[in-house]
Amino acid sequence: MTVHFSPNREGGFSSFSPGSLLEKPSGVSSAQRAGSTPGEREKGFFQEESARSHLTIIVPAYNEAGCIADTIRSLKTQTVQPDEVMIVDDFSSDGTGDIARSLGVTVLRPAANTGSKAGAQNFALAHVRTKFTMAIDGDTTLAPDAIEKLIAAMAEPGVAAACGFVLPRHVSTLWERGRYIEYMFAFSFYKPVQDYYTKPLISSGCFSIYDTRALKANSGWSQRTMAEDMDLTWSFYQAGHKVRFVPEALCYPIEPHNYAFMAKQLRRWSHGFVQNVMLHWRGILNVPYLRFLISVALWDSVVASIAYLVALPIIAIATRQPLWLLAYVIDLPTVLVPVLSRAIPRREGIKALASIPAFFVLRTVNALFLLEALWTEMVLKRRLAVYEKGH
Amino acid sequence: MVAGLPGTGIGGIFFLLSALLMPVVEFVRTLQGRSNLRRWRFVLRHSGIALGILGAMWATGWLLGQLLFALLRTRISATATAALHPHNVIQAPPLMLTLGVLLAVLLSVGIFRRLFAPRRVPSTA
Repeated sequence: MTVHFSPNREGGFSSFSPGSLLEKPSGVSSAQRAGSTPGEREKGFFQEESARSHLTIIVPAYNEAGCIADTIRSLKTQTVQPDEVMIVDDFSSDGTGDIARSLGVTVLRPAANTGSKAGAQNFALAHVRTKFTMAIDGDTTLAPDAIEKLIAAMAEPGVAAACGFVLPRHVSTLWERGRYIEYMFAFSFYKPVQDYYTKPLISSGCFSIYDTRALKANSGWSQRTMAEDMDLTWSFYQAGHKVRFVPEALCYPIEPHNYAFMAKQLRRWSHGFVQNVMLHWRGILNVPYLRFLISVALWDSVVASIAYLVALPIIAIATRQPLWLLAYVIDLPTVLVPVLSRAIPRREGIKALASIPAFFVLRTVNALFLLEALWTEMVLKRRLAVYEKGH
Repeated sequence: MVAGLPGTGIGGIFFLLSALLMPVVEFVRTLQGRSNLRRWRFVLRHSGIALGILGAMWATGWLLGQLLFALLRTRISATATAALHPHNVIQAPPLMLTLGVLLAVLLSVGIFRRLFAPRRVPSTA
């Protein structure tokens, strides 16, 4: 598939993608248009317009000097090229903006740090004029056909957002391995089942595409919770829109590699989940299947967390039967079957098996953060409002 | 990504049941002319994963039962354990309890919906 690049006015790049899924390529040049009849010129203009992907990519970036170049390069090698890539240099202090600029993309820099990923994305959204908007994290690379796969989902009527399959870019530390299994499990089993019932729980913020009109009608990404992607997804459902999951569209974000960063991310995600439940609970009661998904997740967040952290150890100690602790791993097959069903075709079976113990550690840590979030947000009524990055 | 506890509690059962229900839903779609081969492949794959999970859970329970029984026999005399047999540690009562809890949660959602969901204004168009 041939892809053409040409610099746009802002110093970024725009391109025509003859292989765009939306329309057939035209090949009508400006010179040809100049010498043709008005009807031919109009036809040529629309044909040329239709060769575009009608996509703007927004990449919020705060101090991502170590990885922004990889992200931009993975965008430049996509089989379907966006009309424009906008890097939002959210007042970085490490030269993130300079690196991005040197790679020929549009760089937007607000007058002050916006305070969150949502703030940075909204800063760029005001400049978006294309039919579709994509948000990609500054530490995320994509498989070469990821955009091609994801944009195809937007052809379905009523779809406001679509998300892809997420896998950690690096899988070596305990935390990265635990996260690898979590993602492999969730995106191989839970998310496809959710999608079958047309209700993916979240359109992941690290790699999602949106209908720009629907996104702007929602005023972009809200900063009222710590999980703006969850807030947006649930808002879309309540507005009657569809959200889809495309497992063939792969992305690779950098996950927290140590406890300090994992704790920041888990704290944000846990609080974000609880904040969204408190914000949306009435509205989602009218959304079929989603209301069950969230109620079950909330129940497990409370009950399973307490069972993990409190009940099981107490029972094991009180009965002097350490065999009770087997309950921590009794559901190993529940996790292993979907994980291996995806890992083995990817020739990652050994990596998956070696990462399973890390998953059980991460799961226990998850339980701690969930209980803390539930207690702080719902009982103490103290909102987490400071956005901290996870790497 | 929800920081949750995949595979645990009623969530796991919920998704297993959702996946096992997919062939039924797809069959109805087929009768309505709204299905195709690609959809059936997807349905069979994921309901197959669900069946695989159930089989693996049963096998885990059986294996643990065997191991526990062997452990018991090393600690108690052969005479005392002669009348005992190894059994699957995953028993019906706890499973029924989990299913019951799931049903209670789902029914509660229905009640909450009746009481608290915003009323939808019918379109006059």
